[in-house]
Amino acid sequence: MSKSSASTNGATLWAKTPKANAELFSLTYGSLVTEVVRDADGNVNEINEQLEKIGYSIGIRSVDEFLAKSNAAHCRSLQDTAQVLGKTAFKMFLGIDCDVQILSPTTFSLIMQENPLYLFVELPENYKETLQYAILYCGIIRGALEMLNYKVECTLVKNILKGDDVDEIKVELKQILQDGAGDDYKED
Amino acid sequence: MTVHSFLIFDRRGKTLFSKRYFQVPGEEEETEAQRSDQQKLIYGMLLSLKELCGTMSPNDDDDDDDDGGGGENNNSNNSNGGSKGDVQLIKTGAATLYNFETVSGLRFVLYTTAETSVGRTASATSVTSPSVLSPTAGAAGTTTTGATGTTTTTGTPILTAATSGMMGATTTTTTTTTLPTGTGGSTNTPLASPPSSNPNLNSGHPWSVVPNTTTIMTHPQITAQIRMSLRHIYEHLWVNLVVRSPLYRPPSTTSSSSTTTTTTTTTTQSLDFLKATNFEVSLDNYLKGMPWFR
Repeated sequence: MSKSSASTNGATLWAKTPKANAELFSLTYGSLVTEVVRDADGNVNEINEQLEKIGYSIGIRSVDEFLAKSNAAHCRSLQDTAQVLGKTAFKMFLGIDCDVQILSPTTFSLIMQENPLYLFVELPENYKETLQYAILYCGIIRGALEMLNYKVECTLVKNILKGDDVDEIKVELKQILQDGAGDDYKED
Repeated sequence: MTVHSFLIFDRRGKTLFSKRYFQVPGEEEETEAQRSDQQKLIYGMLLSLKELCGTMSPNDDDDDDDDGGGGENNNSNNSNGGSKGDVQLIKTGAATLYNFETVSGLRFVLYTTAETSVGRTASATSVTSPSVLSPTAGAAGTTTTGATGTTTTTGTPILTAATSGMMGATTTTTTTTTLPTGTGGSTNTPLASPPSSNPNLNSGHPWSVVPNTTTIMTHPQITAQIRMSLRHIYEHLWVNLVVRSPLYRPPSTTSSSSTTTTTTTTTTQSLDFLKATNFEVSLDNYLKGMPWFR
């Protein structure tokens, strides 16, 4: 899918989807993070891991919704997938315009100028460097791509809350999974 | 045309949903084991067919290859909802199995019998492409909704403008193989040219069937309609009612138990939780509203 068609598709879909209150979204996530932080007792790695897992659950469900709503063409390569993900999917679900940078045949980056999650958010000093607030997106991407047979690893490279000017998520393809029969089928 | 059953498979082969709509009179109730075996077989067949056709088709073209009962695997454009090389329908003399597969690997399967056979006469039915029949092209049209492709029929191109104009394209599922001899049902002459793409869309080749065939014909409009309905079931019913349900647990892609799933008994879970959603009711209502559903 070409770049422009992916973004126009995204724009039309964004116009069509029913919108939720951005503040509600951001504050809900904020309180969720607060809970996780409280539970984790200072272990930042665990916080990040939990948030990523939450994102993963969201991702595996979002992919069906995305495929159903958008008429995205079958992606022939990871580059196509990156474009559709960044331009159409992010636009449709979050209204964000993402820039997609292809770093290598198996890696790409999504760059976001602004992030609806960050509304009203300020990280305290002790968590400023370590807590990856937007790691939720990493989980979402990982979950969604896994349902499409791409096993990826997502990392937050740049973080607005830390002081960078953009958010950057680096997505690296680890493995292409095979569509196969699961355990249930292989039983007998 | 009667709908026998409706099934939904996930990527791993698990049957997420199955429903029998029609009981053959006199046939006894299947046991649980029999039914689950049957479902596994259906899934296996779809999976193997897809892989097979994937290896056989070159990148953009789609070589049609039917064998036995006729498998139709077509170059559908995206408005039909499928990708190229998807298994769209599998047809035997007695029944047809329609398949709609999503990119995420969900397969929606509809099993029906007694296709309405459309064909003006047994003697001269032709499959035509709109681009060739100029005067009737507009009328013959695009069997509406991004019609699925047609299988190849061989023989000399006979344009019967009348039939095509009225009926739209009809296809026959002849069993064509790459060898000029052989195949059942119809007398075929060697393939005039490979069916490279959906003849309804852009090819200049009119296809025709040698007269006096006794093959049952699949009206591509019906196929397209049914697949569109399957797609609608996916897009609106499944996504809205099931995926969004808090109890939904998508299939895990790793066979090892991951830390996210608390129980490993998700096999029975999905079928049960479906009863808590409105899915079955909506599905029934939707299907009953379909003109081809009986």
